[in-house]
Formats: sequence, structure tokens, C-alpha cells
Amino acid sequence: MAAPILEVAHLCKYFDAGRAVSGETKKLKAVEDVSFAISPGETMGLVGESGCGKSTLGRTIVRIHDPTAGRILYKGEDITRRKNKHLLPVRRSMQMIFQDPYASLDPRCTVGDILAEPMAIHRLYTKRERASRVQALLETVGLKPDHIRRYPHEFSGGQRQRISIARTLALDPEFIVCDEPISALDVSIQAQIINLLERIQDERGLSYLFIAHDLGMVRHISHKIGVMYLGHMMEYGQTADVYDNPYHPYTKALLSAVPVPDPKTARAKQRIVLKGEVFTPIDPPACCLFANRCPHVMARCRRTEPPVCHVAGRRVACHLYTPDFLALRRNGENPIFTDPPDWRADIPV
Amino acid sequence: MKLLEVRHMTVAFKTQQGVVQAVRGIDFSVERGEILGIVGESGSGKSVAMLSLMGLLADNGRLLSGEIAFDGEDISPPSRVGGQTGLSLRARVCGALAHRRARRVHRERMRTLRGREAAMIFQDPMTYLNPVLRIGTQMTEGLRLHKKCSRREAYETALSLLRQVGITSPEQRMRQYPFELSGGMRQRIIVAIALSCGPKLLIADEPTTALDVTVQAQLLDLIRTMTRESRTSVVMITHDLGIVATMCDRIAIMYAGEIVEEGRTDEIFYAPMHPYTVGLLGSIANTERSVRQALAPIPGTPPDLLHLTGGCAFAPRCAEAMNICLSYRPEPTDRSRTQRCRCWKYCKSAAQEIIIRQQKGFSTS
Repeated sequence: MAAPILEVAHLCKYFDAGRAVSGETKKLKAVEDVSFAISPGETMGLVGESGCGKSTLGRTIVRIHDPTAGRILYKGEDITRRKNKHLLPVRRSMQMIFQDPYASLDPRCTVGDILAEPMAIHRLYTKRERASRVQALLETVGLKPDHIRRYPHEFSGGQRQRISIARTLALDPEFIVCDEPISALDVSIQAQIINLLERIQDERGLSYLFIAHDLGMVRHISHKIGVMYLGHMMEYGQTADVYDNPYHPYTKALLSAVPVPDPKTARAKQRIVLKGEVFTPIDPPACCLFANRCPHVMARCRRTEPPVCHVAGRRVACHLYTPDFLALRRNGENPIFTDPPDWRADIPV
Repeated sequence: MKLLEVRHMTVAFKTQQGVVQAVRGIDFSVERGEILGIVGESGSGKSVAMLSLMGLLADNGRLLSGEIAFDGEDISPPSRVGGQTGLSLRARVCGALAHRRARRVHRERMRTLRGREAAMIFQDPMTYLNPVLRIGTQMTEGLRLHKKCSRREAYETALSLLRQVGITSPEQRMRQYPFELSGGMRQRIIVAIALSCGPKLLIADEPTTALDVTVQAQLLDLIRTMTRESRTSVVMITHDLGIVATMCDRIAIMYAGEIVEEGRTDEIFYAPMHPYTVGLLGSIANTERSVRQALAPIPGTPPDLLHLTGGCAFAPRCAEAMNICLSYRPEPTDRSRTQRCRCWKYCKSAAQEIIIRQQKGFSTS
């Protein structure tokens, strides 16, 4: 496999969340110790519930936010602490599509201006070349040439999302962060946009970081998948593996909760219904953050943070998959990776 | 016996740009204890249909026609006796006064119906709950009004309802304000409020769209168990085909203000008739699908309800569109006792007849 285009190691992003009564600043831990890598031409899906930090992670990678700790390597170069001026060449090949196509396009610019602006900022091409490139871009994303003089408000949501995709392609990027590009769109339009993204990827060999909460679409588009919960990467592996046999209890619950658009499967499906409320990400406790909702919670989950365990080519942040715990289960009757009646039962902690 | 029966409902909105035909003659019914799913994209008229059913239309909206029978009772708004010529002034004035009286009676009836016999859950729990009132106040309001409960009784009922919907330490929650609760909890409180007076019909308008999947699963479970126990009928409005597949007994697919197809859940998913339904099913990705299949989206965009042409509204996006589809609106065709759809594909004979009549130069309606 080729060298990864993007490598993220132990990335953290904290926000200040006011002061506690004691006078200490409270920290909102939006992203905590997240590591992954994306190869050229690959799509990595990032899923999780709202507020789990997946958008913050995407924004930190393109350096909209400054990371608190950790490293971001883009094509082997460390861009974690780069200042704006030196970021420009990186930004040229690293683009982002935003969730809300109503907010991400300047209402006072025509489509032509919107698409030419990135080229102007990077001082690329002559005026004439720009014009012809804008035409080509419109064609690529399936818009008509005469749309060039129109304003964003004249377009529907799906068409606007096409415009913002065209804008990200203006500089021939190699890596695009797609931050929920389809969640604001209607079902029949979502599939159009996904097909467009896939076609562009096939044609140009792009890599995507695809952030979404629609688990069906993420399975469809991504090769690898990361599951986030309260800033932590709970599980990370090949998409098919994770979907077919999730390891982490949270992933299991998440996948079982997705309503399947197929009545027979839906009726047969065993659903894990979680109890309890999500912890707040402001100064979270130093234990497993899923402990209060986990159906397999053990005493140690409430005491220590789970380490990231490497199991069968996957990374899982869960006490059930630590080497010593796996050894315990191997010695006992419980076969690995299948659910024993009650995991809490006889495991000494 | 049917709990709710709606015939020929037409709703239009007056806007600055013109008249928007939001709902264009829909028929549907809900059996007792049944969960009906209404699926459609934004702007397909699914919410508007339910709002006009409850008499909650915005001021510029008008229920132009339609008969609504709820539990055997006719609750359609009184129709205006419009511009009859040849009547004396006295008769016209009397008519107008009678109409006003009828409207007031209808309004009062709807007030007693809403909340007690038919309840509604909305998409956004934050805008539904009053931010400056405690949860307790909002929970007991309906009980006090409709059930004429004493304060004590209402409080006790509210507590037990909160426990039923799985809210911990209900006594404390009763004293809290909506902003102190998470989205999932707020939505559960809304379910509790909606079911507090034991309605016969619950209309849930995208109840889980604002929620995360794990919370969504909790809430759907809750709605299902609570309505099944009391044999409450549910109309579930959503755009998520996964939810209807899991929850609903029957499905109606709406497009541009029309019900284009209607049938039992299995019929819709395994034997869809209308090209739009087929397109919708092709557009969704499935977590259970192991092979990476290419999605088959519907080309184009939904029509502008301001400028609808005479034909089938889906025709411009339909791969199977025929000439007739562009100029004539299809009527519903039954396939089975439960499934029917509006598409010329399934009424070829009628289509031919129209063409022949046209060729012969007869006027067509």
C-alpha cells in the first residue's frame, strides 16, 4: 500500500468552556487522542452521534481549528503547527465540503465568482483559463453552463451542494474533508450527490474523509471507518469488518439501532436499546466514557480509561479487548468475539 | 372500523409568488391500532396534510376541500356557501351568519379534540416545549384542561407518565425547565404529554429527525410499546424509509402533494408500483447490504408547487414517462385490496381511452 496521504496521530482538540467555581478553566474535550491514516484514493468514514467531535476533527485536520496536541502529517509533512502563510500550499490540495449548502456559499457572489475565487486566491491561471476551468467544473458536477451567472439562492439544496463540490475541485485537490455533505438534502438527492462524489473519486483518485451520521451511506461510500463517541475513537477498521462484526459495545449498539429499510430484516433484527444519558464532554471523568450506558460494563471501566487495543487489524478502545482480558476469556469457556451470556459474570478485576 | 378517514383533501397556501398547492386531493384512512407511515421529501405536503387535519394551518393556508371523518364523526370544516346568485340580500346575510356560527362551532370542537382525542408530536422538541414554563406545568396542563383533573391527580398522573417513558427521578424533572434536559429527554417528555390524555390518534411529525440513532431507537420503541398497549392509532410522518420499515403497518408515499402510492409495508418494499417509490428505494444505502451496489438515484429535482402543469407531477423525472403522463393526471389504480398507486403505467386501458377520445376531438375533462 502506498504511503498514506494523511496521517493523524494522537490528535486532541480542547475548547475552553468557562471557569469552574474553583477558578480552574473547564475544558471541553471535543477530540481526544485520535489516530488514523488515509491512503491515496481511499475514503475514510467517520460516524458518531451529534456532539461526538467528528466535525471538530475534520475542521482541525484542515486547520480551521488549531490542534491542542498531537500531530497531523499531510503527505509526510507535519502541518500541525504551521502558520497561515505556509499553510496555503497545503490548503490548495486539501479542501472541505460543508454540511449546509445554504450557509457555505456567499449569497452575493455569482456561481462563476464562487468557483473562480479559489483560483484567484492561489494566483493560478490567467483570466481566460479560469473561465474555461469554471465551465469544465460546472460540467463535472452536472450543472449547466448558463448557471454561471446565477446566484446561490436560485438553486435547490442539491444543486447548491453541487456548486460547493465544484468549488472544492477548483484547485485539483488530492484530499477532501466532506463534513456531512448530504444530511441537509432529500433522500432522492442524497444518492445523486453520493454518486457524484464516487465518480469524481474514480476519475481523479481523490481521498475523502467522509463525516456523516447516516450509517447506511457511510457503509456504502467508505473503505475504512472510525466510530467516535465523546471525542474518542471507539473503533477503527475496515468498513466491512466493522459493520459485519462490530467489536466495541458502542458500535454494536449504534449499528443495531439503525432502522433498516427492509421490513423483513427489520423484524428479525435484534436491537440493543441503550439506557442512560450521554456524559458531558466538559471535563469528562477519567474512565470509559461509555461506561454509564454500556450493557457490558465492568468495575474497571468505571475506574480507568480503556487503552486502545489492536485486535485483528482493528483498533478498539475498550477494556473487553485488552490483552490480559482477552487471555482471561480465552482461558475460560467464552469464545472470543461472540457474546457470552453475561460478560460481567466471572471476570476478576 | 376506521378511526380516521380523509377524502379529497386539498390544501393551498396564498403567497406573494402565487398560490402553492401543497396538498392536491389526497385520500387515506387509519384503522384502529394501526401505524400508518407517510413518506415523502420535504415539500411533498405530508406535514401540511396533518396540520390541516388538526386545524392548525397557518393563516395563509386554506383547506379548500376535503371530508374528514374521525371516529365516525364528521370533523371537516364547514364549507363556504359561495356566491350563489339569485338569492335575496336577507338570505345571503343569513347564510353568511350561519357560516360564521358553523365555523365557531367547528373551532370549539377542534379545541376539545386536539390533545384529548388526537395528539401530535412535532419534529423539534425545543420549539414545542415552552422555554419559560417548568416541565410539570406543561405536563399537567392538558390533564387539567381535558380530563378536569385536580392539581394533585394531574401531578400524580404526570409522574407515572414520566416513569413510563423512562425518565429517572421524575419529581426532580417536574421542577426543571426544558433547557436543562437533553434532546432525547425532551422528546420523551413530549411523547408523555401527547399520550397523557389517552388519545385515539397520535400524529408524529418526524419525531426523531433531530435525534441521534441510539436515542431514536429508544424513542421509536417507546412510541410503539405505549401505543400498542392502548391500541392508539399512529400516523408517522417521516422521510426515513428505515423507520417506516421498522415501525409501520401501512405506508403512503407522497410526492408533490399527492399520495402516489399506498400499501402494506411489505407491498411497498417488495413490490413497489410507482416509479417514484422504486426510485426512492434505489436511492437509499443499507447498513445490512454487504455488496457495494451502485445507488440508483432519481434524476432531477422535485417540482415547484407554484407552477404545476396538468400532467403527472413526477413525469419530468420519470424514466418511464409516456406522452399521456405529461398532459393528464393519473387516477389511483388498485392492485390489491390494500395497494394502489397513481400511475398511467397501471391503467393502460384508461390511457388509451383518453387518447382515442382526444383523437376523435371530444373534449376531455
